Amino acid sequence: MNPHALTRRFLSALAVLALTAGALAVAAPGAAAQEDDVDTLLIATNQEVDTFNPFKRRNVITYETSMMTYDTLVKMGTEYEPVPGLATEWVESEDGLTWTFTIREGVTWSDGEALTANDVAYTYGLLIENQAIHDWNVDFAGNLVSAEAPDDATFVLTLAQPAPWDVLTREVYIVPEHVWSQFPDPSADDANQLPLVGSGPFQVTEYKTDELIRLKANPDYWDGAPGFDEIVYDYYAETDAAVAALEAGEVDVVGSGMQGGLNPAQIEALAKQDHVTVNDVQGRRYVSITLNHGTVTQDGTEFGDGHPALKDPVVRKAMHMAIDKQALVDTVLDGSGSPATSIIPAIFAQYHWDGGDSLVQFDIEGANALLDEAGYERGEDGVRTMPGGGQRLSFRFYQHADNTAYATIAQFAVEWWAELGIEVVPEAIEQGELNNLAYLGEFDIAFSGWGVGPNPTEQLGMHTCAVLPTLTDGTERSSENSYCNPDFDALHEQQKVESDPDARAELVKEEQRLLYEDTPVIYLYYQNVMEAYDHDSVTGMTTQPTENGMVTGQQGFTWSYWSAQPVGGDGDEGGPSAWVWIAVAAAVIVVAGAGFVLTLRRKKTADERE
Amino acid sequence: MTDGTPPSEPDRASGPAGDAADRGAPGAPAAPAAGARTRVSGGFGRYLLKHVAGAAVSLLLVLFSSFFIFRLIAGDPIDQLTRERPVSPEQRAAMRAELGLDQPMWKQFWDYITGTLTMDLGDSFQYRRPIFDLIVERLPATLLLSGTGMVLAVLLGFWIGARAGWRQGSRFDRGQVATGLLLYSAPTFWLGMIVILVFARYLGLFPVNGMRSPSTPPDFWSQAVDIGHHLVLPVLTYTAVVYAGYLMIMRSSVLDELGGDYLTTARAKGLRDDEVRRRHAVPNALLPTVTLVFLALGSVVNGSIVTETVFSWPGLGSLFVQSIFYPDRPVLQALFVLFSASTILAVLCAEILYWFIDPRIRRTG
Amino acid sequence: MTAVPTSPRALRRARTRQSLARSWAAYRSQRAGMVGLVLLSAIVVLAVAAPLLVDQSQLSVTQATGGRMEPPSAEFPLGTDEVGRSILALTLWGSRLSLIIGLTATLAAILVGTAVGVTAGHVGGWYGWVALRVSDWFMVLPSLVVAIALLAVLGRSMGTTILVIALVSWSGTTRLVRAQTLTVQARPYLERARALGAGHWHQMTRHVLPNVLPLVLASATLLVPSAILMESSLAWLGLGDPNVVSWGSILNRASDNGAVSAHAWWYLLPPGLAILLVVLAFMMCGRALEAVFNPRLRGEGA
Repeated sequence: MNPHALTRRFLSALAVLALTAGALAVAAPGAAAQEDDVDTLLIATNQEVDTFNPFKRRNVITYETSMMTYDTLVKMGTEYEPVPGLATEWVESEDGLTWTFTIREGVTWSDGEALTANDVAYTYGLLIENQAIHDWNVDFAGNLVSAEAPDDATFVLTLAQPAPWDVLTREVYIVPEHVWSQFPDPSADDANQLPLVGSGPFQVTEYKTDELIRLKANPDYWDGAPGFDEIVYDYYAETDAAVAALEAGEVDVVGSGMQGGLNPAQIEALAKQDHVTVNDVQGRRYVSITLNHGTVTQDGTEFGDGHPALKDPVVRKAMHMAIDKQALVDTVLDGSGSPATSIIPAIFAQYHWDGGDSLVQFDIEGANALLDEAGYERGEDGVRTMPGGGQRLSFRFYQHADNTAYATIAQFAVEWWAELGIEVVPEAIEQGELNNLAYLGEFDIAFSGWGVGPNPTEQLGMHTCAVLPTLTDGTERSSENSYCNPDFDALHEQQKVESDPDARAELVKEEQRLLYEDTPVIYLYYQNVMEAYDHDSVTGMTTQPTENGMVTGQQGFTWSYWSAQPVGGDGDEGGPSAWVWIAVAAAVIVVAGAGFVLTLRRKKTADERE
Repeated sequence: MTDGTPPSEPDRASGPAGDAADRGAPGAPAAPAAGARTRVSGGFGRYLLKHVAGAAVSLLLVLFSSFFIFRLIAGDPIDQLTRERPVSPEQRAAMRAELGLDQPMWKQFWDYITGTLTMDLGDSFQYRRPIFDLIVERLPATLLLSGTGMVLAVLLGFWIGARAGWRQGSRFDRGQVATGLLLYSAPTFWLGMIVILVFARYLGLFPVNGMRSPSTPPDFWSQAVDIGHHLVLPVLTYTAVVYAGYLMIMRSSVLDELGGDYLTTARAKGLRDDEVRRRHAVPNALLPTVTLVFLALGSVVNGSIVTETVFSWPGLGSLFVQSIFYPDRPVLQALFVLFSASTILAVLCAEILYWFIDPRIRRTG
Repeated sequence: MTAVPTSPRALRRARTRQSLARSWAAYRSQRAGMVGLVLLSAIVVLAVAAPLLVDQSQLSVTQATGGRMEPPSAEFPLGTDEVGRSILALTLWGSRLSLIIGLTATLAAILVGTAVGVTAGHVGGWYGWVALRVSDWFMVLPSLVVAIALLAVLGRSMGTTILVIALVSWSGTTRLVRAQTLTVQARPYLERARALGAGHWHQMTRHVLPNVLPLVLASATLLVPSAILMESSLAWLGLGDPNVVSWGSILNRASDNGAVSAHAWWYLLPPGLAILLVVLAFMMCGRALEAVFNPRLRGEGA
């Protein structure tokens, strides 16, 4: 035995390994290149299904499957405006308490049964009578009095309080009575039985955990058959994998289905691909920091341990002035976003408030002047103290530990605020713990962020006096930050019942102005939606809004997937490249095989010589 | 003194098995330091009973602690389920009832204990499905990845180690030890990212991650080839990081045998050098390493957490990490018990095996 | 030794010096060990001198001058991160934290492990039995699993990371030390000491510990690399404190910001290679030390 023989044997073993690996590398894409004649729209996702029960779903993924499987009376248009859905027209009574809907005729369920006003009455009836479903949707269902179908084409809904926008924008998915009435308990998981029966453009037919969700097209959809035969949500644990799959043509759409979304680096990489269209457009999400301006209960009991300086609007304003929101957008988001003013993102153009004359400009000097004037003097260590001496302006800043973007923002803010003579100590804590502390009022500054829906009532409602906690134990979690301002509340009630869209928008903007000037929360930026699709296999997707809008993450109805059309000649996809692969494979196998045989023979002679 | 030291444990923590951070130092002698030798009287029956009882106590402790540890994770699970959506107190209450969180603590504990013993592990918060099903679905992926990786690492490590030890100090020896140590020093997740960058992104030879491509036809062969294709990079990474441990152990085991008289005898009989190695030295050197391999079996179930996470391999390890961030308490509980039980049982097996392999242990003290 | 020592203390000191010199000679003869030592010294010097080499202001995000993930250039020899900071500066500063965490965690583990090990071996009885059972239990638990779970429970900070790493690594030392303690105790001179009325404390500190320490030192040197690897894995998984700069947290940011998709190899290579080098250096030193103190292994070093 000599060392050379050993090395040779080692090399030959490596060659075998390389050969196997090479064969696998080559064979797999070849095997994958087969296509069948079903046109499938492949969407990447990583979100688990919570339930297919449309009354109980919470996750974005099941929001999308519900929108496709079922219909609502009133759909949300591409500009977030109410458009006819299953109801062709609707009339609000004078007192705003009775709504009469005319139900579209000739609509059928995906199992062929006819859809009538009885199904609608049954669905709304569940919200009123089924205790569990009622509780899950109590913010809306609590206002319902009765739901009746006087005839097959008419549905009458009675409310306790006028709430025009709730009625028009609330997504109540109409379910088939003939199927659902068979369930022992419609609030339970019976409603998950596949295939789902619905009247929407696609119905869920198959689900495998972490593998796929399959939806079959409804060719009889009342607004026209969808372009694709089926939609498949494919699971990718990591966004990077979904990106690679899109590059390789294995998936058609990557977007909000991936929680956390695409990041700028990924968008940049995808933009270089010839067959990929990237879409970097304004989104519905804002990121903000909450300042603990004093947590109180409804009866005025103060609780928590926030820093007293934060109760002073001057301090909050100065801190606001020391944040360069554009810089955050540029570095943290790589420009894929826009500086925020208040709670309603710019995508909802009719409700968004642009700051007007009260817009705060980045001005560290000005902020310092404000603090000087208010009597916060700098101590020897450069940190300011409360007027008249005493407590230093040293704040705790809680961030979500798993979010590296927040860590970067925190570092920016800490450095800016340090220039104001305010010491801020960032601390990364778990989301659950952070929520606990936030609702107990035991924090100074904390991150927050929400995806905002098209109906501003929901989001603004978290800042009303009515949702302040009654207890100090932090278990009531409806108020975002203990904000309570009677003027704000009055505006809020008014906008709820204002039927004129323009007048309502003015009220909503006024609410935002109050919130902005009181600065209980500093809104940092609106995050863009970053998505990409393969325009060699899908085309014609309607965006929402139509101008500069998004393809994934649509609200109220999936206009994009319904309107999507397959690009013809799917079959030749990857054709030439498959041949290249096979040629390469053959070459590799021949070369490696020859090398292997050669080594074996040489080894034999070497052994014999010894 | 009647201490019951598990005799098969290597000196340092978890030995060569397992990826990621919990690598012990390579080349740790397989046998415990002198003096720790268990002195048991009463034969195999007593030895067995003692170790089985020890393992049972450990398991029980794991079972109890698992329930309480994860209950310490702060925060209301409902917050997670309703992330970024306003919820009313009524909705909260309805969801609590659905998840069984409205039950008193003792009831939850009792349900957990009886449930775990009867394999009814409850439902996952994030998937809303029975955890047992989740585990059954993901276990094969984990076994495939770390099983293949482990077998390759053991074979490669032993093969190189035996030769390196036999030719101690040669260029081959020095080169192999250096290579092994170098790979051993690389953080698994980093090596994984580099491997992805080079082989998947630059060269495009392999998929970036995951276990299968959705467009693959459902027939057996296409699926097998596809999974094999996805398997290459994770197994490569796993093996690269782990094999050095086996290399060093085999090497030092062979070194121990080098001076043996029987080798001289064998040579005197005129056997060729590599025959002496193959027929005499290696079999003897293998004996002390067998228990170690057994120990490694435990980490087949829990040893690839980092590798699975880098490659998004849909196994138990990535489920564990994902559940930590959710946090999905019932899943964490179940996986913690499963992971710990697998090592405890592997150690038990190694101990039992050790009785048969090392005659010294049977000496009465 | 030509001079005749005059007092017992001087005698002892001389003996210690002598044995240290012997060990050093044995260590010096191991090439890998010397290479490791040089490498390690270089890294430690760099880490200590980091503030002199690179101003802390280079870690500031508001003063960063580079672009987003710029490839290496004259101004930024190792490129920049997503905020435009120099990767070189980050890697240099990261060494401080990674080393501190690795060393502190090891120190804590060794202290606890040695204390429990020596007392368990020396005192024995039910205390020894319980101590042994507990350390056994920690030993069979999968350490990364336990570390992840504990960090999720305890929260993320440098302190908890150190605590958790120490908690999952002390048991090995306990076992080693206890075994060695039992061996030492069986030696005749300890029996003699006992006969002369030496108390427990005296026996432990004067006789047992000095004999145990060399082995502990060797095993500690091998524990540090595991601790550093574990810290980096935990930080990369997102279980570290994102507000500090350690090698693991740099890599965590790199993967969160899509460095792999962007083919930003300059963001991935430096911190990873740094970990690799430190671990390698410690491992080489540790193996050499082990060979010095454990004669069975001597002479095998390459």
